Amino acid sequence: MSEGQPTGAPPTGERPRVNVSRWVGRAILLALFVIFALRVWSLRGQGLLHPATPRGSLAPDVAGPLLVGDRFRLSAERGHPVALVFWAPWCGPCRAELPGVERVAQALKASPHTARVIAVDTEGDRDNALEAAAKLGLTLPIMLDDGRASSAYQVTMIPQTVIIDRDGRIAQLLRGGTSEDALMRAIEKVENP
Amino acid sequence: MKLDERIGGVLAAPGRTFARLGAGEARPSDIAWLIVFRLVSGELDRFARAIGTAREWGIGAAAQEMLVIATAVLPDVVAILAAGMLLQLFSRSKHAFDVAAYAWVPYLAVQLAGALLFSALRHSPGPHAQTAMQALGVAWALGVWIVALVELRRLPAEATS
Repeated sequence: MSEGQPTGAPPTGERPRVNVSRWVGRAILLALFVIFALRVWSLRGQGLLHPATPRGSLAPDVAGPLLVGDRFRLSAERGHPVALVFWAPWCGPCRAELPGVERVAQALKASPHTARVIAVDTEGDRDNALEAAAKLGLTLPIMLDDGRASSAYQVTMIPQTVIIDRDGRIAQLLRGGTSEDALMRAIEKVENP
Repeated sequence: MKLDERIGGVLAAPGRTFARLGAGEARPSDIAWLIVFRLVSGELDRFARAIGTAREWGIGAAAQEMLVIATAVLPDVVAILAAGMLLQLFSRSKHAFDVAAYAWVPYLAVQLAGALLFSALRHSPGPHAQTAMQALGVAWALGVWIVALVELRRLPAEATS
């Protein structure tokens, strides 16, 4: 259909006009299909149907500066479970969850617990992290992530907690805000399999 | 009008197309399908990951992944609804929401062109390019929406109610 040209067969003797609207519409539908095909092509063989954090798989090693102290490296924590709590200072549910996480971290310092909790700040801004930690009264180790840890664990939403067992394998994944009790139970389950 | 003509007409001949859409030739399912298809093609890797997550960690974890995916088209849906409300307010047409949905097509066209261009260039668009694409898409959609409003107001009352 073009401006001023009715649809349907052209009058006898006239050259058929190009239906611009129809071709533009077809181009859009074709573009959608091409993008779909390109995505399928780019995803071939990537094994995306398997999540980045399958249960029992070796946890990707992550490292980064701590808010207070030197550096954290996950591979140096072998021998005891580690809970990585991904969060950001701007995230409301994270701020609601973190005081409970802090209490769990404190409780884990006592015997017979061996696990350790690390809060991974996905924003990675030291000033914002310091301000949030002060407001929330956090003393647990906070690692500043430059994006590599979040990417390694394919963190698409926060808060998210990944619990890694003493052998460095992924044991539990907790998505969304987790209560203090639920987090403690999950950690204890990994400490005492 | 067929599907391709309804979609393409919004870009190639908006005045004439909106006059016909406003008179009752609009098909809301056109845009619903386009949105779904855009979501699937644009977020395919996340869909794949959600399936993997469901298998490994259960439906609850996958549902959260799906929610994140759904938010990718939330601004588009909200914009279409807002455009429809305003169109209905100013034109009193019973097809206002159907017609407003077609005003989203230019935005889609810009996003598709950008996606194809950057796929060909083999790199992701930077923040400036993304902003430029958003601005161009919104401006074009807004222009087309104004054309739709003019055409709906021009239609005789019996054609729109």
